[in-house]
Amino acid sequence: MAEALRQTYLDPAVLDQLGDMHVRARQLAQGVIAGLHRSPQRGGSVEFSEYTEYSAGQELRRVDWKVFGKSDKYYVKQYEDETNLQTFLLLDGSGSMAFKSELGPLTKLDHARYVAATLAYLLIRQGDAVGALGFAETPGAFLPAAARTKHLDDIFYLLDNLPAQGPTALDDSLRQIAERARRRSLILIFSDMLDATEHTEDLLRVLKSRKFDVVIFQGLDPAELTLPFEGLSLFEGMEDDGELLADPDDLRDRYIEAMRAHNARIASVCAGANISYLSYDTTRPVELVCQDFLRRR
Amino acid sequence: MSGLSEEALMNFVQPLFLAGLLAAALPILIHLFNRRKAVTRPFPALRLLQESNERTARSVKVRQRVLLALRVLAIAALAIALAKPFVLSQSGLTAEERMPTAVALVVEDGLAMDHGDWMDEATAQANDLVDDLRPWDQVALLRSSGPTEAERLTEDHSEVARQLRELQASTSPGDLGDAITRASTLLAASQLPNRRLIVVGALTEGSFETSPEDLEIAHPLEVISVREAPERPTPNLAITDVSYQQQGSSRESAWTITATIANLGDDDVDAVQAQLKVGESVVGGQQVSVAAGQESRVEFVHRLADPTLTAAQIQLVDADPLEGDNIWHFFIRPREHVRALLINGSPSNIPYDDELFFLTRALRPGVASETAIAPTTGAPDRLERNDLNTFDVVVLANVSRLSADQATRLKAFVEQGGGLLIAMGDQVDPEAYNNQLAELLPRPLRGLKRLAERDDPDAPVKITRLGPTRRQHPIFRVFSLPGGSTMQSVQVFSYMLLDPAPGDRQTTLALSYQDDAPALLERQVGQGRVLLWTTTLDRDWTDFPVRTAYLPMMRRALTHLARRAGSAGDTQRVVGTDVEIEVGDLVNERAIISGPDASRQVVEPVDGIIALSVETPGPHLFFADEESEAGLITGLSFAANLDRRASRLTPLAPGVIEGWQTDEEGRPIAESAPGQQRRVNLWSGLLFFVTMALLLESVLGARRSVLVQVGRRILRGRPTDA
Repeated sequence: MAEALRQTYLDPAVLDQLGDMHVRARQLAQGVIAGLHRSPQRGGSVEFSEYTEYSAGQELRRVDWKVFGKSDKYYVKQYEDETNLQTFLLLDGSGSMAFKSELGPLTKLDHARYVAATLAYLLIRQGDAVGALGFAETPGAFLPAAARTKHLDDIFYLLDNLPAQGPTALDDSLRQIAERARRRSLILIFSDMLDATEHTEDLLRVLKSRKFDVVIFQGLDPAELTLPFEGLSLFEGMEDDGELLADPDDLRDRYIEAMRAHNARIASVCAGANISYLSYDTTRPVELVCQDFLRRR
Repeated sequence: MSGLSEEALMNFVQPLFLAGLLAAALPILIHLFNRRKAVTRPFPALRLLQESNERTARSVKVRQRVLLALRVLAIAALAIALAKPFVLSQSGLTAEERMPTAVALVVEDGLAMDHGDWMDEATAQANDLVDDLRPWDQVALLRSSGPTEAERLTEDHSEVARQLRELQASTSPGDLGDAITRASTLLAASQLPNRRLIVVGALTEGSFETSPEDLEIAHPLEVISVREAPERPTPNLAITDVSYQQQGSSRESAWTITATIANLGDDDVDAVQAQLKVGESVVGGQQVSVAAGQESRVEFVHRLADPTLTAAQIQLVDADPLEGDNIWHFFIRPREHVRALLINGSPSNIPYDDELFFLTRALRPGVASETAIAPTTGAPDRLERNDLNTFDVVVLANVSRLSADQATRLKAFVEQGGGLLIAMGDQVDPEAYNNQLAELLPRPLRGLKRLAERDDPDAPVKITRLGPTRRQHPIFRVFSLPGGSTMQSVQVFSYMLLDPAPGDRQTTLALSYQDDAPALLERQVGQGRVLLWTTTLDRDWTDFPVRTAYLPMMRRALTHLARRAGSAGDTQRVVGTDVEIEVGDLVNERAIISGPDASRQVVEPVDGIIALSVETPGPHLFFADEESEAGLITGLSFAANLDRRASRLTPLAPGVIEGWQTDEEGRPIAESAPGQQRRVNLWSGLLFFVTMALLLESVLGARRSVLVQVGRRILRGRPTDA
């Protein structure tokens, strides 16, 4: 199952491009141990955790040359204090995420899954603990964070089984993650943010104030940005929110204006609360989205 | 579409296409159907869409409705345009809007058009019509005064304009009906698709020779009236007749001239001046009033200075704008000689024994004296001819009896103004006279009274003599009768006794015998007089014929009896008609007719007849062979007057004109005349509307985004001022 999922999600080309990227958490900048991973917390011991295979782009000084001498393989030592980065993936599985127009190669949900899966893989390979929470009408299954490679299967399983229907429970999920996640966790929110309200903005500020590092991945279908439809259309809401009969051409300008205003408001809230905000459409390759994220780390 | 008459109704060339109006429902159906056919699109950002919709819905709804209305109107307008709608308009008929047209232009140019400025108005109107024609239109000018050689359809409009310039009111009433019929015939032969018959004039009743109701025209007819008020009758006075009569029989006597003046208008006319002109001088004038639709007579008395043929005229001064019928020309013809027919009841080869020997000697013309008397002698059968009226006096001299036919003719002759002298003699059958001539005889005859034979030695004792004359009688009134003194020595051997006259019979005794028996009795019968001479005209019963007084008395008697000179025998000559004058052997080679304004016609007689046409009103003198006093024939000279038919200026009733284009059952023969209407096609305007509606529809129906882009381009494309 897990193998199949890997085939589905993990494009080797993507991994090649991301493999040499270094994930860092800004919050850890205070307690980084000597070198790159000096921890800002006092009394914290640095214990060896595990070896990981060297991959291109890692610092050579971290290669364990003794092991190389024995086995002719490059291993890098992973220390315990480097795994204190907990990442939670929050995936929006509401009805609106099932949308795919003719312009988009994937549904928004699929795109978000790929990005989330790729990042989860990278993070776990890096030794970070990844947890997940899918939500739709209600917050769904919660996977606690773990750094085991096996844990990926569970994450992928969760990603695979999002309902993609009904309204979104973004606010409830944020509240739940705030309660369940460890402080200073990295919280990656994958959603189209169409149902973001002032309440959502307040919650985001709360998360930030609790020292969570929040990143919002807002994936939108190109059609949602340009409203390219022609002819009289009966627009049906995808979260049981009614319908509208209109000629898209009449609404296009105002709609685009409204969409931009909506996104600009989210962006300004994020900027105000120091939250990373990545907005892209589903035509953007998953690798590029991941790189955008990693470059900001 | 300005200029359309208010009552203009829309008509269609192809009304079937109006069924296409049903297609106007299509946009509505499509609109409704489209609502159902809307593509269902699941869309996540519905909340944002709904917000946008709330802000644009109103303008969108308006735009949708405008679009729907435009589409419906465009389809409806297209369907109507295909049906080719048009209206008839009264205005602005331009030459470009007509098909090639054959125009028969009938211009009334009869005498009536001399009224005021009618003729100028008619030519101006006709000129405008000709100016409006296009080069390929054909036109023919027809005149009511009669056909001309140039009467044909032609494209040479300048020629027609030239004819119009020369047009003047003619001197005859003409026949408008005939001109319209000729025009109709011309049009019928035309090949052009469009034909118009236009009548310009006053359309007076008098301009039609035959009944205008009988006209039928199978072409569109337009009537252009030159009258200021076409429906009102035009006031007009006309002198319709002049008669004159000599008063008394002497040459110096006066003439009574009577003019008949008709008022052909609707209003009474008061105090119009009527003048009598003799030669060039006005010799009398009177005021005359005529009630509307009535006639009045005005009488002048005039004494001729010179008893010869005298041209005269009566004129109404400034009576009305039509002056042609306010003048009447005539000749006063004094009698040159008394024409006497002497019926010989006892002719003889021995002149002295002939009954008329002494009378004819007494009447022999050529003697310079009073009125010359031209005697013609004949037997009683002469009375049966038709030419009795060419004589002024008939003398029955010792005629035994008359046939019933002769008596009837003689009676008619006397009643019509002739004079009759009945003289007795041994042939006279009193009974036959009393039977046949009872209505003429002053007193019935009783029988002969023979006093003595001529060779009786006691005759001087037995006979009687003429008594004193009655001075009051015209024959003896001017009694400077030569030998008048010897009258009472005249011996009378025999005379006819008379019975008393019936009580109601008026007789006048002019002369009696010394034994008081009547010698000369007069009776008025009709217009004429009868004298009864109770003894003989020769020497059978009396010696009067050899007395001095015989000659003057006989002449006086015949002159007194002679028909009064007057207009009764005059022939009315009318301008514009052909005249035939019987000249017999009066004219050898040629006749010269000298009219007014030095007009002159020279005509050769054919079979004793002179044929000429009278062109101008006024006196015409007739000369035989040479234009001199010797050649002048007064009896054949005549005065011509304008045809009074033209005086009836009353306009034709509108119903009559309408009737020309309908058959007996009142159905129109031809399509109704376009008159001054033109067909205004509406489809071009409708198609323009359809085009504009479609253009507007495409603009309104275009994607807003496209419009915005275009707008932006236009704005960007503006040259910026550096």
